Amino acid sequence: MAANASLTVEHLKRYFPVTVRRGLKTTKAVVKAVDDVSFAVGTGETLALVGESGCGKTTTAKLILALDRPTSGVIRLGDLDVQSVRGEDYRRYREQVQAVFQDPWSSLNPRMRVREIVSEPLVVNRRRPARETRARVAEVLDAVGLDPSHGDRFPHEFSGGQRQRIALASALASDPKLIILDEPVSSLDVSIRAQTMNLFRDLQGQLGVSYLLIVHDLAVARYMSDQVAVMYLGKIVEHASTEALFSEPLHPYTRALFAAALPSHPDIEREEIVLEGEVPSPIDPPSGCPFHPRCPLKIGAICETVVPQLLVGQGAGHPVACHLYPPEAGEGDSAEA
Amino acid sequence: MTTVQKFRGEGRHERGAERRARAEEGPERGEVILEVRDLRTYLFTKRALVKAVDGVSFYLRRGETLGIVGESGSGKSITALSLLRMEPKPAGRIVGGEVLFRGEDLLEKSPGEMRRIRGRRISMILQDPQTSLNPVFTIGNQLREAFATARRVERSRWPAAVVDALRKVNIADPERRVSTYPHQLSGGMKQRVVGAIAISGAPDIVIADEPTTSLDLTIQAQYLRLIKELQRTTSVGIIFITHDFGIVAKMCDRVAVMYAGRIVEHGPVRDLFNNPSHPYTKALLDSVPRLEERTERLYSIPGHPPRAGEELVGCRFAPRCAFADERCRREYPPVFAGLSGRDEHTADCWRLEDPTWRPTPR
Repeated sequence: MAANASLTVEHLKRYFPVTVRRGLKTTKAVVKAVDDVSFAVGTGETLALVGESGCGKTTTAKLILALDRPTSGVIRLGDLDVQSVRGEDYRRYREQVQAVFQDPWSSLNPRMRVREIVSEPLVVNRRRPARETRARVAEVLDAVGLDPSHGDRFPHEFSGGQRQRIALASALASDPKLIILDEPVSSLDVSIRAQTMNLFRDLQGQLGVSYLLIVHDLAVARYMSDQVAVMYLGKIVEHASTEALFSEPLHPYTRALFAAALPSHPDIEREEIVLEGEVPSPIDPPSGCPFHPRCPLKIGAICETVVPQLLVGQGAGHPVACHLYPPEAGEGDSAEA
Repeated sequence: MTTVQKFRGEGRHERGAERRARAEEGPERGEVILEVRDLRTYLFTKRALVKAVDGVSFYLRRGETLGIVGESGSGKSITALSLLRMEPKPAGRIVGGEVLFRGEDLLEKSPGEMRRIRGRRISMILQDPQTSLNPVFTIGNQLREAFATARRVERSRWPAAVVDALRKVNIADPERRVSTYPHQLSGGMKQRVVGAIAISGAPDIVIADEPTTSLDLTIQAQYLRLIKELQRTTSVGIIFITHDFGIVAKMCDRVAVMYAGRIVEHGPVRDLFNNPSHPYTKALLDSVPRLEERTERLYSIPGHPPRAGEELVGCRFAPRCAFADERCRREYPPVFAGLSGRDEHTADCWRLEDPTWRPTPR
């Protein structure tokens, strides 16, 4: 996986300084939105980042898109390191990472024609002959199943599914290595979702582009991805191939997510895990394992005091950050997938 | 599809309302408290006449949960709003049908009478708790208002009732929470406050319009479980408006599938999942990825739902249907009942003239 990795993220951290006011007293604090996250996405592969709001998956995406700078850590795309790219390399980086966002009503500029929207990643990064740009726009519109003649229209003339295709065409225009799909189907109607997901998969097969899929729907993650990383309060708590994760979820939080997922048939009974309370505030995260206050399988004091490392522990087939699967004797380093 | 299929010829060409009314005499699971007959709500816009709800009939029994599933534009939300005479004004107008609440037609009530029904007999939980609550009043204040409207509790007992109501929806430390403002609560807690307000008048029916779409997965699970618990203790009838078959599978006893202003299939939830009989229902079920097993390739329904104001002739789904023929495009099909051997299971599709026919992927 790492050999042909398209994207490599190592020990990524993004801390936001905040001031907390309590009455007249103000104190400085740090929100660890992304706290030591590592993963790699292979060429033509999809990694799903799964988690609830506030877990840091969108911050991770922003850092990879170079829309925000990490506090520390490494983001490498091919031979480019986002921390050090300047000038021409920076433009190359921006061309190679693109994104499709959740809501195609707000992500497409209503005053631009489809042709202009799609060609944006081509024209902002470098000068090209107009004829070349036009040919590329027609090509990618065709690839996403839209008629190249639609290029002269405005976004409001299209339905949600078509708009998401326009967003994808725009993302594909600069022939990127990686596309970040941030909840790409959750705003679409049920009957349009399948079309759109199939299109994403087909284009990946044809073009070999990698996807980083940010998603809360586990069924979508299963259908779209090759590996899954589950995030909670800025950390990856479990990371495995899609098959391994879905056949044996290990972390109590992952299992709670599975239990909470809606069934696809009324006769399906799930494991009964209802988590108490809500995700704690990242300003004041719990000590030890960040999940311990809600964990139904807490084993004792160790959960409240020691932060579990993401590693393949005893009784686990893949990396999981939980004291239920303690490291083998003599092994202490965190294992990456 | 292992269910024995029985076809009741005599039920074939009845109108929806009559057929569904007859189905009530079936298994006794509580009296019918709401019956909607041939409801039509049109939107008169400048550009076009939109038949948002175009002849919808269903019923609800006490203590039961009915799911109305559909995509955006199917008319499911306008149906829900029409029940309380809250169709979007000025464009929306209910042009026909009956909404019989315990035998009385709500469409004939005066605005004053409707006000006494809303929130007291029938209440509503909307999608976004942020916009359901007033940001400038404390939640205790808003709950007291609900009790004032409901007039079921004496004024002197309101403070206790408010704390009680919050406790019922599992809000921790309710005595302290009464003096907080909506922005101080998380989305899940706000939606639980909305739930507390909805049941404060001990209503007969709660209409829940996508109440969990803005919530996170684990919070959604908490909320759905809470709704089930409340229903067990109060035997309130619930109408769940949703686009998600997962919610239907988890929460509902019966389900009505809407497409372009019509109910195209209706039945007990297991019958609909085991024996989907309308091509639209079948296609929808096949296009949803599953958590439980690996799906090689999802079925994708070609085309898109009809746009608002499009002229609709014949079966609304025909242009996207793999089984449609000339007649489907020309004439709306009658209601076929007796699918899955039950009067309650009905679908509107010409193919069902052959009682053994079922939509199967090609």
